[in-house]
Amino acid sequence: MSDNASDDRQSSSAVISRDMQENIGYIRRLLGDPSDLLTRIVTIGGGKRSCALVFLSGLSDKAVIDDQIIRQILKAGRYGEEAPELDVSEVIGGLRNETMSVSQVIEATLWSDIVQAVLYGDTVMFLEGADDALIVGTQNWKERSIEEPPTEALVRGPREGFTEKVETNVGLIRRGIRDINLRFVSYTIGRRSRKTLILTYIQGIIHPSIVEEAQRRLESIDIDDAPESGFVEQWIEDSFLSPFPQLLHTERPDKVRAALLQGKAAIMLEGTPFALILPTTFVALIQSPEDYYERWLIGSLIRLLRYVAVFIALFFPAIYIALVSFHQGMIPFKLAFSIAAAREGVPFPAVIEALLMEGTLELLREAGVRLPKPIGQTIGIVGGLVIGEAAVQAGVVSPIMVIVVAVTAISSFAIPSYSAGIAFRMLRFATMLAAAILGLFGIILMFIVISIHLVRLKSFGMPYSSPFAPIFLNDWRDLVVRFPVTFLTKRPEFMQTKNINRANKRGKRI
Amino acid sequence: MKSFEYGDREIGTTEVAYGVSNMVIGFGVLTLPRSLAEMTESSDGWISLVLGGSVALAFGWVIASLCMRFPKMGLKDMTKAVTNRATANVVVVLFACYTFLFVGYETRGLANISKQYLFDRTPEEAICLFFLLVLAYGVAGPSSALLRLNLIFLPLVLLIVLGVLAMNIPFFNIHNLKPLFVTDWKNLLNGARGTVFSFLGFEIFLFYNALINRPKTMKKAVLGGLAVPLLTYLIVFVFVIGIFGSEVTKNTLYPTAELAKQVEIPGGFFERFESIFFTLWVVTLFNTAAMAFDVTIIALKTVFPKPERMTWIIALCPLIYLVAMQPQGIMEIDRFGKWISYAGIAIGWILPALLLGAAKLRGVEGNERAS
Amino acid sequence: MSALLRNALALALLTLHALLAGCWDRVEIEDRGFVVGSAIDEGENGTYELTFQFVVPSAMQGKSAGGGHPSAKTFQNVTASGMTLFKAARKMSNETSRPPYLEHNKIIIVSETLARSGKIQEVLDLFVRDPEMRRAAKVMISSGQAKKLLDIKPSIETLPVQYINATSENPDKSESIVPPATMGLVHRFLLEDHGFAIPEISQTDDKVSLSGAAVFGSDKKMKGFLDGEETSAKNYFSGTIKAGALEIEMGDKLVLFEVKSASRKISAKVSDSKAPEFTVNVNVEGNIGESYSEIDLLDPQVIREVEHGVDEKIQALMYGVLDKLQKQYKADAIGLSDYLNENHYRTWQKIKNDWDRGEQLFSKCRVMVKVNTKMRIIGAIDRVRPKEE
Repeated sequence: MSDNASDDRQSSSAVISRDMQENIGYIRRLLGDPSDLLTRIVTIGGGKRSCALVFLSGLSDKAVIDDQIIRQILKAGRYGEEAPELDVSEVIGGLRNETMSVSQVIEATLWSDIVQAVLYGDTVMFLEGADDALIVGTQNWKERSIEEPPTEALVRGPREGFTEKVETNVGLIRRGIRDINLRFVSYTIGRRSRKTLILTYIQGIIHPSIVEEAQRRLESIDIDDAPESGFVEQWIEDSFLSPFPQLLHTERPDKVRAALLQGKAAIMLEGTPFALILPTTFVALIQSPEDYYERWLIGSLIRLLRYVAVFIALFFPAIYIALVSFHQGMIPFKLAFSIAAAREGVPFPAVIEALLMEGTLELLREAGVRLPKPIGQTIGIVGGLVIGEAAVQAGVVSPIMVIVVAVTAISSFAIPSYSAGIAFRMLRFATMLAAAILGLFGIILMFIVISIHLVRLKSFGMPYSSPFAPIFLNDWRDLVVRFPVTFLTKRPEFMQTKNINRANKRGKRI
Repeated sequence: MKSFEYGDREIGTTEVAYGVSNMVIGFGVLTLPRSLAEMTESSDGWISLVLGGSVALAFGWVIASLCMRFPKMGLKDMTKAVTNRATANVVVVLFACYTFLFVGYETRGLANISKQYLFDRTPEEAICLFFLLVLAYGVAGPSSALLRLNLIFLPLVLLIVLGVLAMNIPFFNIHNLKPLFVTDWKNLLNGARGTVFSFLGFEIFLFYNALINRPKTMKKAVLGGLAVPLLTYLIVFVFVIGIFGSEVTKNTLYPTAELAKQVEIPGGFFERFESIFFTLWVVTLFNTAAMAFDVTIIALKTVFPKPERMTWIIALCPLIYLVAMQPQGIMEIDRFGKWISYAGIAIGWILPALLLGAAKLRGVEGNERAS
Repeated sequence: MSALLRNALALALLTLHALLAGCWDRVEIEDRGFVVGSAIDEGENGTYELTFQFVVPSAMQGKSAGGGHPSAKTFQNVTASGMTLFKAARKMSNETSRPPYLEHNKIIIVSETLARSGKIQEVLDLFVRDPEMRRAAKVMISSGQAKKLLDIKPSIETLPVQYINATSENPDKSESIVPPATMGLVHRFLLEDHGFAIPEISQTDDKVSLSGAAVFGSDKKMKGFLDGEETSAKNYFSGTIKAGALEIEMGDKLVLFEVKSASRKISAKVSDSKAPEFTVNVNVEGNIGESYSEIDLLDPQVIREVEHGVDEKIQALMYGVLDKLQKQYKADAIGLSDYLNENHYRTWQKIKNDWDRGEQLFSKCRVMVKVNTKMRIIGAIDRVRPKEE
């Protein structure tokens, strides 16, 4: 056992020594003698034998260590007085089996395991003269309480959101699906971060190739650290050039559970409340759980509204440019005259005006994110309008432009998925440029380009534009209009799930 | 059967049907009423249309039968099975020339009409260039994506065409359709000849046959796919005559566009409806041109397999541009179109019919194995 | 360099080219000279005099920041002449800051002189050919000079053309207005082989009147005007009556019959040798609008009398206009030739060259008019005047 602390050591098969003090010294040196690494030496058996508890103070639960470990050891009878007569392995066994009232106790000999455990927050117990050490589960990270995710709030629905601790998240999912087929596969991601990543799916529903593909991609990740699930997403997605997200991210457990029941899989990463759902389609970006919690008429109408919002968010400024600069004949004539009159004094052509206003709004939005909550919300839209008003008074932009920009901004907020919203923001600028060059023709060319892109894009082998193309007519029951719950008896066809029925229309036989 | 299992390699029945429809619907919607009204009296053009459509359906049946006889084989392999390799190469190259010229024609035709109705000063060169860029982007991916695009676009186009017709119902005067059955046979047949050109396009599926995963449904798909344009043309024709009368139709270059022009949306929300009509119709033209381009590349690749797909695309684009810019004015574009139509009928319809006949005579059949 | 870099570079170059080369058709909306109405008169030496009514958008705005005050002139009429209308329109660009933009053109007024000289086809060619124009623009013939009508200041609307436009859409309240002749319709009339009628527009003091119609023969020359009553009769013939009012004499007082709807059916007896004979059946339905008489309107006998009175009156009017059209104008503006074309196609083909030319068969054919009126409602009261004992 040499003294150098290279990271080879972390994965090597070096084992502990029998000398307790040597072990303590070793782990100290390995971690660079940090001040939060605490050691507590307890003697048992009337001072004949000693064991050492090594733990990191910030990560472990002091209460457990004090009450459940130390006190128990001190109280331990047999191993105390009779300790010198008993064999060391018996002592270890006893300590593990009969003494400590902690739920997780494992024996370990490899340094890699022991060091990882300490770094995780567990406590290591070295017994003088023993071959094995004990790893006691005392991990207790400070955690946020379960609150409703701020970016995905609903009017009606559970107010639970994931936290940064992956076990809690797993628990949240288990609570909603108590099916024996629910599977959680864990991976360790990141050479230096060693975070737990959990892939979850329901066996028997999901199509096996999705699981295979997902596992294949996850196993290919080789980075130092994955600070957020976004890193994982970017590593395993199908196309990094596409503006559209190919995995959906969410903080809501109910969304994840619904996805699992549809035959999708989810990924949760330690350290972030954002879970990833795969595969995704374009349609999923526009859906929200609330469509299902409200009754079908309301759900359908609101979803329809969202489709309209997508259209507006993407095309409205471009249409404005095209109509005002190219095809004025299309505007009803009274409106045309008002617009013309309003634009009399404006120095810029409609394109520049639109780009200016949109650009300003984007800046405001970005700035609003960083400001503290109460100010941040107001600055965004209201600030834009106020600036817009001032700009109109100064004669820099026309009032119609302000209306257009405001409506567009509001529509883009109606899109449930934030990354989709960003995608549309980018495309909106491209479409505006296209409209500036070729008017309506330009817009339609952009539409064609976007359609081609969507049709070609795949998310884990699933065509992104399902169920529009290829057509799965049965899935249209839950597409733009949401049929009543009693009609949604089958899982989505495009997912090709192994188990088709999820509801019985006629209800339970009484 | 679906996504995972076939992914990008195969297409299903729905895609074929939609593809056939979309490929055929093109300029016909705009110009057919006029050419029919020129040949026939009053509203009798519909008879010519039905006649011409039947011919097209017949050839559709021929091509579908050919495809069913040689499942999963493209035109080259089909010809090779019936004749020899050299003939097959020649046939395929001829076909590729036809589709190549077709793309150029579509591009130019589109630019010409757009210039008239959507633009004023924008030069046709620029319109062609941008269109060609988008075409190139579309063709750069797998063929199945293009066919999938049809699934989205065809309903849109049909919607807008039917919408224009529906909104013109207040102007529809059934008396304009009278008198009935007044044209003589010669003129009716003449008219039928003209309509046949509007049904060209579906022969490209001779190449897409290599991708089809359920060959047994080809007949249904092709015939069903052809029925849609036939119906559409019929309805459009009847409406145009009903609204404008046959004299005006004879005189108007693009009667359907004029229909779109006079639509007044209740509430006065939009005024120049034909711009919307056109923008959506551009979409179907794009599909037609993209599929033709795609097939050109597929065909050329079967004969010269070495260059990559991207290389072919980059090589062909400037050539297509040159072809598109060659006709000088609308008269030449029309003439160009006529020549291509003749070529199309010869290579796309008559040749496969001969092939089918020869295959039947010699008892040649393809097998399930993909070659 | 790598494929990705190459592609990105190509894309960047193309985009740059697109942006730099310019957007050819971009004309900002405030740079357009919106033309809402046009008038064409005869100029000197065989030229045309074209007048466009341009809109001044800023004056249209009452209240926006930077708008003009309400009394500012909302329109500007510009006149130019040339051998062709196209040239004349181009000349206007010498005078106005904004070249004419015709996509919102609503009204086209052609002067009587031009109509009479058969020039209407030439005049309208530009309007139909140019795709910028809309087919729904309304064509009217002016009695007198056309361009004066564009100067009439409306009291309610903001633009003269709006005033004219709105008034022309009142056929459902007035029987002496012919349904608007949109350009598409006129195009059709010009191509087809029969006579037709277009609304007439005239000026009284500073008001516009759209009562009356201009009758054209199949040689596309205007033959004359029909006054208000004659136009209403023509509407009965064409089946385009949406509303009407007839004053009937009952005793020595007037009773007013309001026509709610009228439909007509034509039937013809065709023979090879002579001119065809037509029977036109008109079915009229309506109410009593006003009664100055003391007759008891609840009495079925009285009702029949009133109906009979209406029958006769309408019949008289229709025969009157028929006479004028057959003898004086020799133009079939009532649709008889259409009927023949639809229902007796062979005969029509044979005689169409002799319809209102040659043999003048139109003038020779006999038309019988039968009117059948039904009264539905008499109003809220029976009469105002007590029955005289």
